[in-house]
Amino acid sequence: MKTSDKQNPVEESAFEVPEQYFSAQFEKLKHIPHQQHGMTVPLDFFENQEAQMLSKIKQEKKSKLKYIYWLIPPAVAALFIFILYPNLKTPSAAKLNLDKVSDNEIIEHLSHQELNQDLLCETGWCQDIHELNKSNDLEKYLIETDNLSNLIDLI
Amino acid sequence: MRKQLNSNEEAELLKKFRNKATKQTAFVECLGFFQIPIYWHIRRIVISHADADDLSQNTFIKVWEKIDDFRADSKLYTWIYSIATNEALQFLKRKRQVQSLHAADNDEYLLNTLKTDPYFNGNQLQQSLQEAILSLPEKQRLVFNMKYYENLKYEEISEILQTSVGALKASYHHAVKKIELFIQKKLS
Repeated sequence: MKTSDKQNPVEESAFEVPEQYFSAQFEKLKHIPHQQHGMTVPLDFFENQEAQMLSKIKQEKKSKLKYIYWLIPPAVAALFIFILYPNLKTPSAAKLNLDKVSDNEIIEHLSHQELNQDLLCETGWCQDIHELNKSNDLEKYLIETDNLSNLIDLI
Repeated sequence: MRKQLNSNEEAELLKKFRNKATKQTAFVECLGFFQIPIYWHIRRIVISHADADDLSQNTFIKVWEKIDDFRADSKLYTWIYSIATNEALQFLKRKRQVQSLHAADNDEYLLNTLKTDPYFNGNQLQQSLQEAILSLPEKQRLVFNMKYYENLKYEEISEILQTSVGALKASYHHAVKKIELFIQKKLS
């Protein structure tokens, strides 16, 4: 037998089969449920399973992107807090520093400080300023009044 | 017949997997090589078609997720087989825990699965052979299936199950003897 005869099953013997017979059979066989030793799978199972798996990995890609989008607002919020934190911290830091300063030092500081009287008047200290100007005795005033820390906050 | 990747093809496939642009193409190629053998490998462990479907999908999703961690110390297909085997064994372990079954009762569970699975239509002999296989301890059953049905080499099974070749040969030998005895009893 010639080599070419061996390779072509149609020309294997004197018997003939219709053209495209083997390829058509192969196509049919592809759609018969795969079977192994009594165990079978549904028709087109492997083709469908492949499609399912591909759709799962595509979904996974999308869901990963979704997570990134969800991370943006907390990241922006964290950034704002990071930027504003030093400013938010300032008042309590000032209060802490004030506790460390003695009354005498404050009195000394105020006696050399030019107070903006108009600003103090607007904020409800008009009467006190008037009293202060009348007596012109800052030390006496400071001893009599207990609103020292409020006054300092205003300054 | 099992399709085998030669080392050049495997290297090429891994290269595609590691490139984001070609990762999905590599995944489709990987399915072309391994989807059917992995499904049957899992099916022989868990028996039920529906469970084998879920577990084989889980296996390939893990391959997709973990392929970047694969260091190519072993062959790609032994790595995929290891994932599939672990998935299937973990599944059976969970089933046992949920149904409060002992390891010895597991055969009964799998036997019932075999009898009730709509995708088993084997003849009497195939049914008896499956029953005989299910009567084996888990390790012997695994080794028998991988050697007898999947025609894997002992060296390959050794890599997948992390067991020495000598122990595997002994397991297979015991499994064959037990199956012969089981069938003889059934026929007599």
